[in-house]
Amino acid sequence: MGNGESKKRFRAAVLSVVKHAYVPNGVAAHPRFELAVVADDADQPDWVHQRNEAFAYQHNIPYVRDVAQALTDYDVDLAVISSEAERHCDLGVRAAAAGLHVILDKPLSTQLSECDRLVAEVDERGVKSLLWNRNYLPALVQARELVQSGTLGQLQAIHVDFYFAKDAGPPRGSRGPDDPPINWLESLIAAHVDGSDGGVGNKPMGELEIEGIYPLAYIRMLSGVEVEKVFARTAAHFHQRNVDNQVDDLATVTLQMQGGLIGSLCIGRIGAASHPDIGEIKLHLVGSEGSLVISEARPEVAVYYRGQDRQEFPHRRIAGENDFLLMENFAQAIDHNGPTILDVRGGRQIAATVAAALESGQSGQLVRVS
Amino acid sequence: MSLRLALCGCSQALQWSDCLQRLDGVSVTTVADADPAVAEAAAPQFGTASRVASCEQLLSTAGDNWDALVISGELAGSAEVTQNALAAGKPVLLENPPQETTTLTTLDAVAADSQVSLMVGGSLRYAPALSTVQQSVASGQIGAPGLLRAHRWVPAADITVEASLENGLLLDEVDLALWLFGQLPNHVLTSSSMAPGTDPGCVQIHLGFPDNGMALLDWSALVQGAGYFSLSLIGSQGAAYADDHHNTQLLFQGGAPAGLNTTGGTCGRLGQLREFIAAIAEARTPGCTISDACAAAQVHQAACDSLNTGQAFRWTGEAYQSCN
Repeated sequence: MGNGESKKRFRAAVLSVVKHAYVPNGVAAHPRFELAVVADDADQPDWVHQRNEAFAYQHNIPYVRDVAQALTDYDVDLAVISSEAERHCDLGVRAAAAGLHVILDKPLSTQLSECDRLVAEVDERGVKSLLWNRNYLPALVQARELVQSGTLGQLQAIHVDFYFAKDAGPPRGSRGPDDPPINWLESLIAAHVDGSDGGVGNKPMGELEIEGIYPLAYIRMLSGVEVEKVFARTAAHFHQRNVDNQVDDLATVTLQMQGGLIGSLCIGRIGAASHPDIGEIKLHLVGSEGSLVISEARPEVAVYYRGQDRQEFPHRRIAGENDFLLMENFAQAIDHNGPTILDVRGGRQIAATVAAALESGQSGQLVRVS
Repeated sequence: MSLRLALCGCSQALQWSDCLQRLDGVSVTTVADADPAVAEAAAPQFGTASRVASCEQLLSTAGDNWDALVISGELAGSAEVTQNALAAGKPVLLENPPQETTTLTTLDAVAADSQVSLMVGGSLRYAPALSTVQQSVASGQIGAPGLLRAHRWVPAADITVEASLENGLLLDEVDLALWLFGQLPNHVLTSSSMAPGTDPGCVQIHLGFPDNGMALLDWSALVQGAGYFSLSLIGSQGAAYADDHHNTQLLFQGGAPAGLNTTGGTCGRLGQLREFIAAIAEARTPGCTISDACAAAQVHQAACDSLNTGQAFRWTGEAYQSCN
């Protein structure tokens, strides 16, 4: 450990790690954090236990099929939760009730009532919380500095495009008349092999619900205000899995925010053919003194070569320190009893914005964010 | 083909002259402007073109001198001039049609009765970048359009005092959306960072289409600097990105570099003129008609109503009505 060697080292319990493991891996990469144990409830299905065990084996730590035991017997300071989204909050509540700080993968939950339960528990116990996000990507750090320095003056509008140019199973219209609809959970379990299983769980979720936290966290961080009303259009435009499970893979959201600020979000899992890299992710900010166009991917380096795999992104992002900076922020919050970049209260508001957008997508009306 | 044009509205005569250099057999033979001095200055740019005292006198004093009429830019009384030319059997290219749907419907009827071409200028449809985007849709390359996003930022110095949503601030973008999706939206919502009736500030229109397509179109005033336009169209099989950010060059003159856009020159206006000429030669309906203008005006009016009421509007099959 470098200059942090005199500071406390935090021990983490990983509570379920059933999807891409970037959250616990991001925690473990920071010198002030170490993974002590993986745990889950005994009554979870076999595929859950298998993934938990594999992760524990990879990190050379024990796997315990008893969450309560893991929280008390391994001298841990925090819980890192990367379960199916519908279990995030319940695991978070149990960890917070045991006095542990909590870090959760996105989305916070599939139900607002669960978010509220977690917010209440975290508040009551006085523990720190972090909803994993991308707010420390270099371009976002730069945007925040420009906003906070007053370079743009008073913010008037903020627009985010957030497209992932990835496929998600067979394309829309590919199901034959006698084929059964695609089972959400089975399909997402199978998607683990390429890491596109962020929506794994029993409850189907659209792109807005799975990935919306990222752009909405940008807007929240940069604007510093709450969303009051939303209007949204949603569609299953690309993928048969989304059609069969009646969830979106493309959405547009108008955001009417406090203080007359307006915003918008375009989001979609738009297919690998739609962009040479991970996708077009951009922010447009309009202020009273200046305006800003930011590409989230930059800085990047372009590498092309003969025989290049089509799956490989030729533009490689560089200088990314998002994981380190998130965990540094979390450590500082614990050390100094300060705020984190995105706590569960902020995550709850984002979940409420998404819920209102989904309702608007159905009703065609402006919907107030609860 | 030989075609003699009358140019009504000469403030951009230089651009028209530039376009004509690229077209064989097409010439401006008569010019007119609401300001006689502007017409006087413009005439020499077209060689031997004659000028008439006013746009209203184009037919009465020089009707034998031209075959088709181009009404360039904003012109008070353009509907009457158009109507008279159509009634005389002269095709018309009307760059900036009036917004009133009743006037547009009348013009459409006169054109139909006279069986001559009436083309509406869609300034965005013929921009090189956007016609390329449209071709990617028309050819089926990017599949069914799903999401259109457009940002237009205009320098404060270029904003006229009349600029407002009521005066058609986003009419071109709405027309573009209808063109790309090929249908009327069934949902319209407008939001603004400013109160209705005040300076435009930032305005955005959100459209939802019956086949699950959607569009977000925003307009903002820039405090200073050059303008900015960005458009992306996400289709079911691919996507098209027409983006000033991507096409920005860097100028170093000390301090942070300035961004410079490489523009398409007069290509937009040239494309528009080529389509007008081709429609006349082939005796076919032009690419952008009065019906298109009417549809865009109708949606844009719904957008105005949405902003003024704070409500989303829905297409009932006959009109746009508040969702509440």
